[in-house]
Amino acid sequence: MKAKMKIGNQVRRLRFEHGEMTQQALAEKVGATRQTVLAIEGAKYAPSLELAFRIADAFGMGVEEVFQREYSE
Amino acid sequence: MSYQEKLVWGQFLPMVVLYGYYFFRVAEGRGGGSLVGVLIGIAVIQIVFSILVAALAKKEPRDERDRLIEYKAYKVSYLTAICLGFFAMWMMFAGSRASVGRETVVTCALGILVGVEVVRDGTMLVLHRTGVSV
Repeated sequence: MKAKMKIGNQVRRLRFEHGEMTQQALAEKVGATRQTVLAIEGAKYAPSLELAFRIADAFGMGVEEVFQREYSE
Repeated sequence: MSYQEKLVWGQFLPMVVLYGYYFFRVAEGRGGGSLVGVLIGIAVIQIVFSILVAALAKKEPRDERDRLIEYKAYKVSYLTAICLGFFAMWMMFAGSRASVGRETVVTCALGILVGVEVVRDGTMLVLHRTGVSV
């Protein structure tokens, strides 16, 4: 059976490692709303590829360092 | 609560309260009163609410999540429109052999339109709270 894939992320940790950046600041930097950043951090929303790249760019990292695949049965 | 969610509440609440009152009176057989009055009342409250939200809340442009929520809400409301439309047709032409008055048809059509709007806004509010995925 095909394993279910979920997109995990390190956004919360990276925000704190980047000068305790607020959700609002990150949202403004990537052109999203604070609620969207909140939903991404809580793994309640998987961003589009474009937004994922923008978030990774905001931290100066590659997209795979910010977002990871998580498999579950 | 996000800026977009506040705007949806401002559309949803006046619609539920005023149309609810109107249809409650129609169902009781007392007549709904002035439909034009209800429509104007809803429009006025929605405009005032939008102005208040724009003045008091921090304005945020819609982003991809807001658009996805809107898209899903339209999908649900479209299915609701289809179901209510078929149900109304069945009620009017198959379920009852009695002739249906023009007033009943108009009330039924209005009910479907209102139902679809309420379901669309309600779905948006639920998705804003619970989250949405592609």
